[in-house]
Amino acid sequence: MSRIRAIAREDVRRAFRRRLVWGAIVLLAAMFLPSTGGSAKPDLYTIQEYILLLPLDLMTFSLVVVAAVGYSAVASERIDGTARFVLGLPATRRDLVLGKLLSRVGIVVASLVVILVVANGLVYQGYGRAFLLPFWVMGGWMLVYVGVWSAVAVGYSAAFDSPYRTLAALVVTYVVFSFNFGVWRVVVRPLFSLLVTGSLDAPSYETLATAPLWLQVVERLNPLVDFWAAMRWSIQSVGPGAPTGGALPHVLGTGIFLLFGILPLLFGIRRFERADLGGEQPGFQLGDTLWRALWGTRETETARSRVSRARTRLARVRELAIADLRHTLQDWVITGALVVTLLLSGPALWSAVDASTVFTDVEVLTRIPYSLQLSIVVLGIAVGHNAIAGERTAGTDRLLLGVGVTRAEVVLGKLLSRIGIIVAMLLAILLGTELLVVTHLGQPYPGAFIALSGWTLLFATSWTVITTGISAAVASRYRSLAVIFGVYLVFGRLWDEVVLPLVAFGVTGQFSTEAFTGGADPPTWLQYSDNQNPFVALETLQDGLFELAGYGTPHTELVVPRVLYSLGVVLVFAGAAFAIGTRRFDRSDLG
Amino acid sequence: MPSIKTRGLTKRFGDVVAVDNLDLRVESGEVFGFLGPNGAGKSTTINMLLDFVRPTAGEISVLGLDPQTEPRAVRERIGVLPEATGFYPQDTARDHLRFAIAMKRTDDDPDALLERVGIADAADRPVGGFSKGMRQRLGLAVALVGAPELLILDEPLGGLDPAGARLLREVVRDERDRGAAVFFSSHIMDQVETVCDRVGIMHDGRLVAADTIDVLHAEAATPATVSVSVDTVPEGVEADLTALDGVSAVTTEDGSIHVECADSATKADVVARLDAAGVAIRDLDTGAPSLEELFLAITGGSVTAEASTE
Repeated sequence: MSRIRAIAREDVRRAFRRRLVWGAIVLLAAMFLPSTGGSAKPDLYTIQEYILLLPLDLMTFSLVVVAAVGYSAVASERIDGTARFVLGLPATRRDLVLGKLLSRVGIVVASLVVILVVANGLVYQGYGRAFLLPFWVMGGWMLVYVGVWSAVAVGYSAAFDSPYRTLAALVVTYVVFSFNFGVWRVVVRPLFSLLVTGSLDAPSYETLATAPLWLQVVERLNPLVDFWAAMRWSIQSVGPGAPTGGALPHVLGTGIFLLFGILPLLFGIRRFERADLGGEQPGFQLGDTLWRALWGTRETETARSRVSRARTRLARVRELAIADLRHTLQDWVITGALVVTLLLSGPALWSAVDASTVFTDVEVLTRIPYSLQLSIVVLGIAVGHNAIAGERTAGTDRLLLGVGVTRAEVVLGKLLSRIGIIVAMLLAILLGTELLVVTHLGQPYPGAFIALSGWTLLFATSWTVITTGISAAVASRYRSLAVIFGVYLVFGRLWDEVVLPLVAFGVTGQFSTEAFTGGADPPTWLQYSDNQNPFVALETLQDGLFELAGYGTPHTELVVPRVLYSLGVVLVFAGAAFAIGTRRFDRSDLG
Repeated sequence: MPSIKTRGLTKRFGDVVAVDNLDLRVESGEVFGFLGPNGAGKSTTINMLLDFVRPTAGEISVLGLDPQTEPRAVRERIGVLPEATGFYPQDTARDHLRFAIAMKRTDDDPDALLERVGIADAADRPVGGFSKGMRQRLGLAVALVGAPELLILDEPLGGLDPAGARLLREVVRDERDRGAAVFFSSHIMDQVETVCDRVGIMHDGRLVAADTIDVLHAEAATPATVSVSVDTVPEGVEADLTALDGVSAVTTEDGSIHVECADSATKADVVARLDAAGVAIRDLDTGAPSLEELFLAITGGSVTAEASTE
């Protein structure tokens, strides 16, 4: 048996023991299959539309499994020192990476095959036929898709010495090329348009074959566009539907898509082959040096007075917060999250804040929060999830508690630091947004700016309190992430499907809420039940703040009791998360 | 052909020179102790021998091969216990050995190897629950897979209890008797001098000495000592003994005389002189300088603070 296969076999055995891998597979099934089953209705979509609809969700959701399975493939071996164990045996570094690739691609492909088989069953149930050929042409392309992304993940994991850098690189790659986040649409396409036509406005198109030639070439540089075009053409070639154009562009496009996986893999192997695996650090890194340069002067000036001030509780919390601020900004995860936030929010805001013939300026302004939601959620998770759990994992909590601070002070100091980071970041984004408003809409709309800022900072602060509280309540970063995603899943995605129907059953005796939610004025019990969801409560507050600032739309109505109730829900929710986290941290064993 | 040979080997991490122009030669079939305090550059050197860390300058030959260009060929013929090596916490000791045997393509018996290092009863326990000493023993078992021509052991004594340290010394002797070369590092100097054919002493990234311990003693001119317990310290004994050739210093306390001899043979003269003077000797204690004292003598008594490179 070859050594690469030996490494792969052992790795598969270990990977399937990881809860993160199983959790990601279950999450993919939970996110994909219910909506797939619900949409498999001939009166909603033709089979042609439906089979093209499936990969749209799957292309995003499957990357959760790819990331969970691949992000630490090689990097964790370096951190845990097991790379030395393997490389002490007759294996080369290339063997290690290729063994990992074989294993991780196998896991992801096997998981997706199971999910696709179930999805095919749902097609049969919905349409009365399995449509095996077009379905499995789509399925085959999706298996190639996850295989290529797995190569990207393993390549990055070999190139970087930390799983988090790998994860950050994966997210950035996805954000740049994805259809959903618009960096390609807002940055790359307009730049090429400027070069070719002299205008930043690139022409829109329905199918790639109908776009101008220069735009077809530019779009072909995006491997995800190539993948989508080739898959669509292949499905239509086996019917139902009729393909547009010949096979050659898709063959070339497929080549580009495969290169999209091969190049990061080669890059990763090359970097890994050249890396020092001894664990030595060359001293301060850029982040440390910058921080010390910026903070050094201030430390010298205030060193003497700080010694006496640190005797009070407030001063200790302040010292903790400053120390945590330094450590956090030196952390690549946080730095990466800040970059990702900019990548997510920049293009989204650029598109959202634009004079429109369809929407009034007020409608444009009141829709801006929707462009910021994802960024706030990502940033809150990034800065909060490891705040306390990270100290416990690293053992530095004992160092902190050994210098005369209480556990509650540790939580408070960290919370202040993390809120400081997220507020500073969002203030910068808000100022950028205001600049876009002035330049694109021609007026500053100060009331809308204040309403937007108030809502953004309230959302960000309360979400960070929740993520930090969860981090204090659990013992590891993975549990913290699992609980945070669980909270987000329950309140973000399952609320309408699961929780509200249960409430409706308690009130009306039937699970369906469609009869009430469809109307202009839902019953009070439903409104107040719905507003127990902190995300819904934040939407109510958003409407209320804009209404209060004089930017109400026909869709919003300032109902003071409901707004105050929503504010109470948000505060109670965040306060409860903080209290539970602090209490659990206070009572936990730190051995 | 030497088992290990380096010429001008240098490694820098930023401004820190971890290993500085190292020329080293380890012959086949010998046990070479690579000694020095923490931060001296021992682990960095071993990491370069194993191709875990790439040299800034210089040449390395392991069993006549360059580990950087022919890593697989080197690793097929050596056994390795890296410092702070990681193990898969949920795999058992037997899982690790099975994997090592598969990778080395040998037909070793995992149980026999675990028996040899004294952890056969823990063969099927997850390694995550192992003590540091048990992990060291497991690492040693992995290194022994395939009867390698060269064993490279980085701080193998770390975490071992006295019984484990004795077992390690026995394994090292057995491997040498089998014909293998053994290259191991340690900062616990007194535990290795009985097993080494030669030692090299690293200090601040430089190899400051490399030879047999006897030769190093002679070159370092570290004094031998003799302590004599007596009923009464006679008057003028200090001057009398100092007058002997080869005596470098004499001190007396209540009921005892301590003599440092530049030449070990002078110790007998000291005893003879005291006996001739009618001194009633109750007890006698003679000692050669320890390896640690030897190290302090060679490095001028300075042991640097731990550097970040180890």
